[in-house]
Amino acid sequence: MASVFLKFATLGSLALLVQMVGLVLFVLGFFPVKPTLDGNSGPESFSPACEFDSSQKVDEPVDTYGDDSRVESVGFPAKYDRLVFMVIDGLPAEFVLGRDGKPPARDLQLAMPYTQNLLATGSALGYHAKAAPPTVTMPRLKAMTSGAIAGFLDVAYNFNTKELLEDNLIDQLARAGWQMVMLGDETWLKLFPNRFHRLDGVNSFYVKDTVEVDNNVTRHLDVELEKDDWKLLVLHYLGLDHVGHIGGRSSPLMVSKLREMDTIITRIHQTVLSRDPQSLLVVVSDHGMTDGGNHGGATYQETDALALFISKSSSDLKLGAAPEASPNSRPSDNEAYQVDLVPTLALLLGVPIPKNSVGALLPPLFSSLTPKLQLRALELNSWQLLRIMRKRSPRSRCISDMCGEVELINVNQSASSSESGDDADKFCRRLNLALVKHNYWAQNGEKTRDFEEAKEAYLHFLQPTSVWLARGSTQKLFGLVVTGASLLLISTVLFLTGVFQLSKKTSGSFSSQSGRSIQAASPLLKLVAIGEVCLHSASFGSSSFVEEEQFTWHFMLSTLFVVLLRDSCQQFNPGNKLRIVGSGSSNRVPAGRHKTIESQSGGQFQATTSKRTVKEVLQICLLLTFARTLRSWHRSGVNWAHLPDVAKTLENSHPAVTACIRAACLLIITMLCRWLVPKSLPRFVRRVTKACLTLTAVLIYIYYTCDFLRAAAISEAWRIEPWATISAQGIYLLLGATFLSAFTLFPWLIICNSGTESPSRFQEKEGAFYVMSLQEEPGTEFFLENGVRRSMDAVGTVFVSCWCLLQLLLQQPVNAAPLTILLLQLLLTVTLFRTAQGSFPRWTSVLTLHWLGASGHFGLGNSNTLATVDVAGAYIGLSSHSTLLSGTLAFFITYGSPLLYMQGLLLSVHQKKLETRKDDLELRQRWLMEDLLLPCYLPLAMNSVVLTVFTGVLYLMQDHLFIWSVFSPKYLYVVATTICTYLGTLIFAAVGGYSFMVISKRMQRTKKGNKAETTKLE
Amino acid sequence: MAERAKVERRKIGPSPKAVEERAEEQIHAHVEEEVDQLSGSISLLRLVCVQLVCGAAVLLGLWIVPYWMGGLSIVFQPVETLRICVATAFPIVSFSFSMLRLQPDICPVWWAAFRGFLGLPIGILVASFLATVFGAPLSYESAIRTLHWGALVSTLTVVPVAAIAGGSWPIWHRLFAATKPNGALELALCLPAHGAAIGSWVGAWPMPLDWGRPWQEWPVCCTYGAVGGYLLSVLVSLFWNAINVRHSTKEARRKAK
Repeated sequence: MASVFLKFATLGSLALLVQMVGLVLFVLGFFPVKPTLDGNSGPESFSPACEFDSSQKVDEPVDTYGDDSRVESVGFPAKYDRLVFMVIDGLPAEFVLGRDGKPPARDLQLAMPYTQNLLATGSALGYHAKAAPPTVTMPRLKAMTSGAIAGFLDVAYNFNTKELLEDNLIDQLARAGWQMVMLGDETWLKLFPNRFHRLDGVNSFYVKDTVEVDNNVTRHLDVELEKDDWKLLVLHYLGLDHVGHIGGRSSPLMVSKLREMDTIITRIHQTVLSRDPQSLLVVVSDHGMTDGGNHGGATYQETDALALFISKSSSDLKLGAAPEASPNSRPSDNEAYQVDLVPTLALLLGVPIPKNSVGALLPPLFSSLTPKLQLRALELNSWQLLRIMRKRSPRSRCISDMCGEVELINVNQSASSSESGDDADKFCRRLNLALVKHNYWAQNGEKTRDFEEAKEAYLHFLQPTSVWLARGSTQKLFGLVVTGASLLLISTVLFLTGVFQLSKKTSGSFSSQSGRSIQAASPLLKLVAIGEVCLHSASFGSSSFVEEEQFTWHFMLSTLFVVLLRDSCQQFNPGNKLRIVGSGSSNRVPAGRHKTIESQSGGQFQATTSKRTVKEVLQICLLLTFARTLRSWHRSGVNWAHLPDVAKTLENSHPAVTACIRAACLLIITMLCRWLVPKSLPRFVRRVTKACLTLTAVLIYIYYTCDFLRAAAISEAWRIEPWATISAQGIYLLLGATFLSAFTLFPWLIICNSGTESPSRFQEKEGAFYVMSLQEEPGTEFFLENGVRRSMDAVGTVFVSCWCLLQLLLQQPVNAAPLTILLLQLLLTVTLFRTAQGSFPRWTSVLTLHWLGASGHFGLGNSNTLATVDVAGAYIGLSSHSTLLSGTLAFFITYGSPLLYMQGLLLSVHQKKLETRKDDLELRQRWLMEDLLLPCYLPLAMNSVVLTVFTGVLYLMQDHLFIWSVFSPKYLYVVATTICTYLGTLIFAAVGGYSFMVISKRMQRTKKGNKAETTKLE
Repeated sequence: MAERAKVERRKIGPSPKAVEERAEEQIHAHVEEEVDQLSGSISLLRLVCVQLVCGAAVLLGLWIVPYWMGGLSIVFQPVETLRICVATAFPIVSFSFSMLRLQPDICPVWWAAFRGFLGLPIGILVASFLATVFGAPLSYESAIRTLHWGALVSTLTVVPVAAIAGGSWPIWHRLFAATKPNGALELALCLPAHGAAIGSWVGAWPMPLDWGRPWQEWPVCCTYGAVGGYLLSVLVSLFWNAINVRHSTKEARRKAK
């Protein structure tokens, strides 16, 4: 027995190890670091050469453009020498510029009268600056300063702000000797430490505070605006993003927040800009927000960021809509990309464009310059992009031709030489053409017509190239990807072999002995389980199914329940009763009771069976209803997410309604948890546990009160915040202590040698219904497995209680009711499989719990876009910023439901044994397999199937249009789910292993004690 | 399907146990007699006719009659179309299967048809519950659609069995819970019913796709699935029975020789 157990354990851990290695390899290979240029752009960037690694050539200035080009080739004259860079976090451009040619909504327009006036008179120029996903602050700030679009995995670093080491605008300005002042989000200070002359950082820590966070920025404004020692002033306002997180786009606070922002723009415009004509105000937002106020994904609403250039005189900025504007390759004139800010600002301020910037400059901002300077700006930007292109596709012939000889070669010749149609070559030929036209213009008397042509040719190169570079079609590391994927495949095969071996071992050798286990091989159940796993995997091939995965899970779960329903109906067959009683009873009923049962007539037996069937049917129907309720709570997904659902209705109602529901749910869950505390514990321990849980509930209630006061704006945020934080910290402490002491102490304290005391509530209640229960003879001897089961059950109950209370604290207020439903569902499922008494094989219960967890994940409002990660909750109870803690909390919130059900597996262990008369060895083997190994194996195997299949899908879809917006975020979720499964399995294995160890030690001790007693007596 | 039968059973049978048992035993005996009778080719011919008529009625009711009545189509006017379809198909199904009722000597045709009529609302309730649980929307309009779809599915699955067997639990159990049809008649009842249920299950899969087609709306594609599955399995059961009959007659002849 031990050898079989060891074999499976080794197989499992081997597969696990292979999977981890494979996953890491694949991720490293598939999301590689983009090839970037090292170092900073220096003066060499002003010369039209494409050297990026050697700088010897730079020393000799390249003289191509007439007499005064020498002056220009070492620099580009700055148009502005003072910049106010104002970031309004999360402001959708739609609020200022409108959408699709329509002006913004009336109330929003009225909220920003000054800005709208500036736009109307032409002294401001606004762009919809499309932000690249992930639309969260830190990567966006990096993009806005370095111009590079970071690799996808950077989103993982969002919590982990690190210094920006790439070449960026701030460093360029610092090198040019600019004095800089920074007020606002401290992300800036983390990205650019020691660059700022004066600073005051605020953190985006209390997401629920929308006022103070901005006042802390504005309070310095009077002083700073009067001073003239700075050249760059960075302002970063977080309030608007907080407003969004709390109330969404249409929050009542939004208008007043916009009005506040407008006042600040007014102040800057009337002080700095009017005093110094050479100064520029740039108002940008880092990302937009969805209707619900979240961000992170790739929808239009989230990527619709603002870039607004405001200068003193309207002549500086010629609006793109003006008739003489060049025809753009972009759909609309006021649409740009966020990275376009970087080359534009760099050239306007006369510093080199940062090396890895992929932006293309915005031509209307340069239209007041002389034609020569305009073309020069375009040329500099073009050379800079060409350098990145050369790094990206080093084998492009056209580029190497161009760089091999600085002399411009004949356009026709180069066009004919590279017929490959490769993108890089195509763009490179466009650049060649532009350079030729530029040259022609310079040599043929600088005619306006030629100038327009040259400019158009440059733009024809710049804008598509910028988009192409930004899309980041980088080469994957093929070797790593294939190795990783094949390792994943191997691990899946190992896991599946393990599961099938296990289920064969458990059902095969015992089906003959336990009467009802014959149905263990219910072919339909197996077919449905395997078929649905296959269907689910196949559904990943379609981006809609990935977006709307909640439908798939719900459908699968409902199907599983319906099949279970059918199976339990199958057992209720009065026609067969005689045969069942006649032939089956000898196996099922121990000899002593055999006669009595039969003599009491088959009628009683049938009555109990039918009663049990009715119960099962009712339970399954209730479970189906619960699942449906959860399903309708949050719409989740993408395509139908905007339609009303229960959560939205509650959010839009008065906060008191939600608060009442939340408090009621707290009460219900607390009562349930108190009731759940197992009876197998000594009375004192039980009381202490109950007291801990109740105290936690009281603290949660205090927290709720604070939250309600804040939400209903009854009291001010800062006055309440400390109370909320303290109570939350108290909850963490209590729950952590309960959790740990339950884990360490319960196996020692559990009462396991009294067969008379019913071990848990479930059995106590249902025991009366069964014939089976009759065979439990009072005073059975102390079984190891009984003790371990009981101990795991007890620990599991406390774990589930703690977890539910923690989730009640962390989740959004509207999620309190779904949480209650989740807990009820868990208890009902556990009861169902206990009622069924082994009529369903063990793997069914594990599978059902696993699927319930996955389905509940969407029931709590999660989806496969990054926008639904609840960032606000991740800061509850933290008094200082900690990446690790808030990351863990965010993970707990997102994976609340799967982790709840993974802990629920501990409860499902407590099955009553069917036959007491089997010899110990066989029984123990079965028990080890069913109760300890299978719950570890099955979730890992299921997750591994999903992981492997999705890895394959991701690889196949790498050129799909939605690869970055749908498939990659989903991959992050898949990886996080894998971690969650590891965590759940770890908990299960740890509790199981520890209980096993402790109980066997206790057994030995009692045996010794007994022996000692007997010897003493003798 | 199984659970439909199950729940229905629960609602129908509150009678005292002893009476029930006796009745069931009687029915059981009759079923066996009937099955023996059914192996004769005359009643098999009747069965084939009934099945073909029912299949034709459903096709007629879903596409042709609505088209005559002002160009209705299931895609754009699901409720009206389904109503017409049920109105067309239900009487035909109910009466034609009543012809095949068990114990024709004690049970008149009108009584069998009445049993089918009783079966309809119960079937509607069960089917609508299941559809809602699987994710059918809950708004008032959608609920009306769900009920209409439930009526169609009930007509295809529950009504024939109710007309033939009434409230005999062993038959319901054998047909729907155990899926072990006994003889040609039971196969002709069991297979199409399962076909309709599995068909609607399969039909629901395209619904989350973002193609934006009108037929992706609830309950259009599930109706397609149900009717498609029903017709397909009617054909399969016809073939199956034909093969079996030939086989058994051959064996009978061999035995006779």
